[in-house]
Amino acid sequence: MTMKKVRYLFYIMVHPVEGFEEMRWNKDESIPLSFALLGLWLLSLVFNHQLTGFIFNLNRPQTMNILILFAQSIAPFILWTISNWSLCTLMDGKGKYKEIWILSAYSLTPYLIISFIVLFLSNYLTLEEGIFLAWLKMLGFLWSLLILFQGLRVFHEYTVGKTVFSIFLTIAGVLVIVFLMTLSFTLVQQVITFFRTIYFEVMFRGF
Amino acid sequence: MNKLGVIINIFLLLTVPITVCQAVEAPYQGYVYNVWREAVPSPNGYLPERSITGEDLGVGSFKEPQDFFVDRQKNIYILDSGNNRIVVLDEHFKKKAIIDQFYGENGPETIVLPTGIFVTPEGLIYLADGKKGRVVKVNQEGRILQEYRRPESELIPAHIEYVPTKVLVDSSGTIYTIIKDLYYGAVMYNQSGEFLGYYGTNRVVTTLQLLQDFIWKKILTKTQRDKMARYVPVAFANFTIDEKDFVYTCTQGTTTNSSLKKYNPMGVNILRGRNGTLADYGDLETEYYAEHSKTYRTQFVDLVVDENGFINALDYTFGRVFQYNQDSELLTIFGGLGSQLGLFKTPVAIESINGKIMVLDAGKNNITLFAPTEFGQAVHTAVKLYDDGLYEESIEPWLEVLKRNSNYELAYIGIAQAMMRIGNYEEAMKYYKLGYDREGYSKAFREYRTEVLRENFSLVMFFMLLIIVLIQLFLKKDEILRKLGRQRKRYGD
Repeated sequence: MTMKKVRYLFYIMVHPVEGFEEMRWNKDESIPLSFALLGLWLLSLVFNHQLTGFIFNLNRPQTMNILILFAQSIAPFILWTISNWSLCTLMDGKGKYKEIWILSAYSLTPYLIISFIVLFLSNYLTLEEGIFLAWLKMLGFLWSLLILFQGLRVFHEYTVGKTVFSIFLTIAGVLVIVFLMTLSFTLVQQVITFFRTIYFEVMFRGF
Repeated sequence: MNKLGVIINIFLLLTVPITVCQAVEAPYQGYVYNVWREAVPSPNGYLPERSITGEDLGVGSFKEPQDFFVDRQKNIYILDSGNNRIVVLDEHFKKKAIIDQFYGENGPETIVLPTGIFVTPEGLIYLADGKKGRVVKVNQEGRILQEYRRPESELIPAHIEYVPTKVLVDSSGTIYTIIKDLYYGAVMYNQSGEFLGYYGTNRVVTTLQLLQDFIWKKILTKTQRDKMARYVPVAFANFTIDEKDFVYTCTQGTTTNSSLKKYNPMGVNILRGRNGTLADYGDLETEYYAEHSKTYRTQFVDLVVDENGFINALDYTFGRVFQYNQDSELLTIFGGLGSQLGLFKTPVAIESINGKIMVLDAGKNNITLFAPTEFGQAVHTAVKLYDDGLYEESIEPWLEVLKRNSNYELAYIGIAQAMMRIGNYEEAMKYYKLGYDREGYSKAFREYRTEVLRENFSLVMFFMLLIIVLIQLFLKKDEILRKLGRQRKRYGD
């Protein structure tokens, strides 16, 4: 049963529309698989930081910070799904939050596979051959983007134009969420400071 | 162990560290910058040997000396500005002459607080007499032979007060002088005093602040605009010339990659790092001082190219000397601010003599003489061999350097280059990695990879064939499975 679900991943890589439609129809979405993919994503970032060949690795291995890597990968992913769900429900999208989460996670597959290939090759290529790696990375990125696009189209039952529009809106939504979070964070901080000050003032003067 | 033995041992234990301490004592801690632009401690490359004051020489104390110069015959000319005189020493710091009387065509003249001195191989002295707005050529007796005043030219802006601060002369007799606040470059004269034009100039360096102001200036009115800071290039602070007529300049208040420059006779900056890009000079780590609400940065006041071709630049802010080779590799840093021997109050000028470095201090009114340590000498030997392309010969001194400082990245790169030359690519890779040289590592790796592939040619071919066969099998798997299934059916029951 699980093997069948894993097989969907690879089928979706080459036939995104049919794959997603079939999966949607059969209700074969797998939540554990999506978490596994996200975990792999984080792992690939860690590996990229630490194990990329010396020639291509501009990072300092001693300074790896898993929280920063998390903030570069899974945090924006969560924001993306929230933003996409909130906007597309308003725009007559048929996708549920669970489906958006899963299709976004599934579309990472080609990117992940290629990034592991790049990781391996970077240990055996010279600086001049590095352009090949850059192209490969680009390919993986675009491939994933295409699958994500098709997935959104299938699950929301959108036209091409509306999908593009919704993607741009989603990105704007992510920015708004980040802005609101920063704003509320600063506000809460100020309120806390205010009550702290009052507390200390009372303690100093009253007792 | 008997009593005497114990006493002797204690005595030895007590004396040994003391003597060692005396040998390495320095009022400053040497350091270099690593590839991550962090300061890392390093053994000192130079140690203060002695200081020379006017009293030591028997000429009375110096008063705010502004500049000094070592000529080809290794005579030291100290421009004792506060006393309006020139003190001439030989290379062993013995007094040779004092020039304190100057004669012009119309009898005695005074030269007040000159700030720059240059002496040609023929013994003609050029002084930058800023207070009188001129450069003068003086012979050894103090007779003024020629004056170089403000040229009658539209190229010199009218609003600028003409104050020459530093002067130098190249082998063809062209005179270069730095005019205070004149940012077009150094003013050039020929021997007869004709203005030839400007030589070399700094450009405005694009910073974030500049871009921000640029946008603002598009929006604001003219009156508002005029109140904003104008962006003009920075004038040179000082310069020096080497035997091949290359002019080296230093500039204050600019970015780290343009504070030192080397101009060719065309007036083009040719000072670059090893990989051909602009390098950074001075301190790379800066610290914000909250009590002064200011970030102190390196400000070079003078520089000198020594007989090895190393560039020694003197920093005014922290009183440090930064030594670079011609590839802009930082070799060593020494000096500091303070009152002990080897530290300065107001460092103003730097010169080199017989492999040693001298720093003139206008605050302490003395000259400090620095001699290279064993570590410094090992670095110099290695870098010289390396710069001359004698990579194999440089391995020995580089290993000597690493024995004293295993964090010295330049040494690893030097050894790696030598290994490349010998053809030991595996070792070269190891050393390039230790020296954080990605380009070098890539070159070594390519050679190494070819070598390994060639040695294991049969193995490589075998695996390639295996992969091709497997792919073929995979592509035809349906057919094969079908055939197998048919056979099973045939013989099955």
